[in-house]
Amino acid sequence: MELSLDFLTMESLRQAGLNERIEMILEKIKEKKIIIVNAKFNPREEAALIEQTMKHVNKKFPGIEMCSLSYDELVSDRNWLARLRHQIINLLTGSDSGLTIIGPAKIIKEIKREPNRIRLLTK
Amino acid sequence: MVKKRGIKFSFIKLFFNRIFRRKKLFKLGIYGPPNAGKTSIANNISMAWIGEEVGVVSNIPHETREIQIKERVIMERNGKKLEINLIDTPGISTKVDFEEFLKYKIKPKEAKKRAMEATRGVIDAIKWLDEMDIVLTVMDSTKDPYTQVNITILGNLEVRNIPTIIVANKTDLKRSRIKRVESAFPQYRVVGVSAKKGLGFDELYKAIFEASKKA
Repeated sequence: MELSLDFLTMESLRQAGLNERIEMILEKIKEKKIIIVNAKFNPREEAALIEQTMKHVNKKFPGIEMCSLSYDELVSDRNWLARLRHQIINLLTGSDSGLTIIGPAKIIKEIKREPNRIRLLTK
Repeated sequence: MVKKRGIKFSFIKLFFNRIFRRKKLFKLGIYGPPNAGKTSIANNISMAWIGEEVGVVSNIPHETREIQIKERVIMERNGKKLEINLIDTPGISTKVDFEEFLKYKIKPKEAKKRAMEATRGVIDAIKWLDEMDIVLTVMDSTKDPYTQVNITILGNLEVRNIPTIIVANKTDLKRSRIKRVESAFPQYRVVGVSAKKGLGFDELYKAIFEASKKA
């Protein structure tokens, strides 16, 4: 099976409204693409993505698997000073650095979060 | 003079009631992924205080596909009363695969219907989040708690300032690991229960009373 990965930046995604960008992501996922975004989705975005996904569910498209991680979760072995510095920068700049992976549940069985790594299990 | 004092007193009472107003009726939501035991927990709470069940329990995922409410459940503890509307919600999930239902010997037509109802249930559960005063986030303590669905539920409660208690269910099973839930979410209060055996509920009621002070 051929797997296609699409890299998207949050800056480009956020040029569109919430519903519009979620629709764009879902269209790509329905084309059996795995989306990687260079930021963590905020809780409201995550909820909106689940809500919108449910409206698309049918026999061919059972939904999505996703994993959204903050910078701290990605690099858990950083020392506390580096983490604190990063958190202050995030607070001041309003940044939400991290990583989000979203893929079709028809292909991806599970995305497991583990210390310093993400495991993507396919069907 | 007496009348004057009475007016003064009721003004002070009104003033303090406005400032320190406590809600009379709390909406207690039960959230979590499918098959964590949300309805079993709702049934335990409802049976304990009003002697009625909230919904049907089964091993089939997405058994609860509609919001179920028990109104005006009055809980009592140490002479204090807490009146709640108990709201059991469908399991939140990022996927609903109708083929999953076929494994439980459900006919294809019924499986499709269930899947569609389940998707609507997930949407309703998310929409109802804004209505809640306190939420019990139910997790299966035999499974890895650090999942996207659990993180999304907790994150959404946090941005809405809704107090939550994590209920680690299925503590009667050998594979249950409450410590794993506690270390995954150290900033939250975790209460272990077995809805099947009715264990741990006194601690849960204590936590609900405490959470009502923050709501």
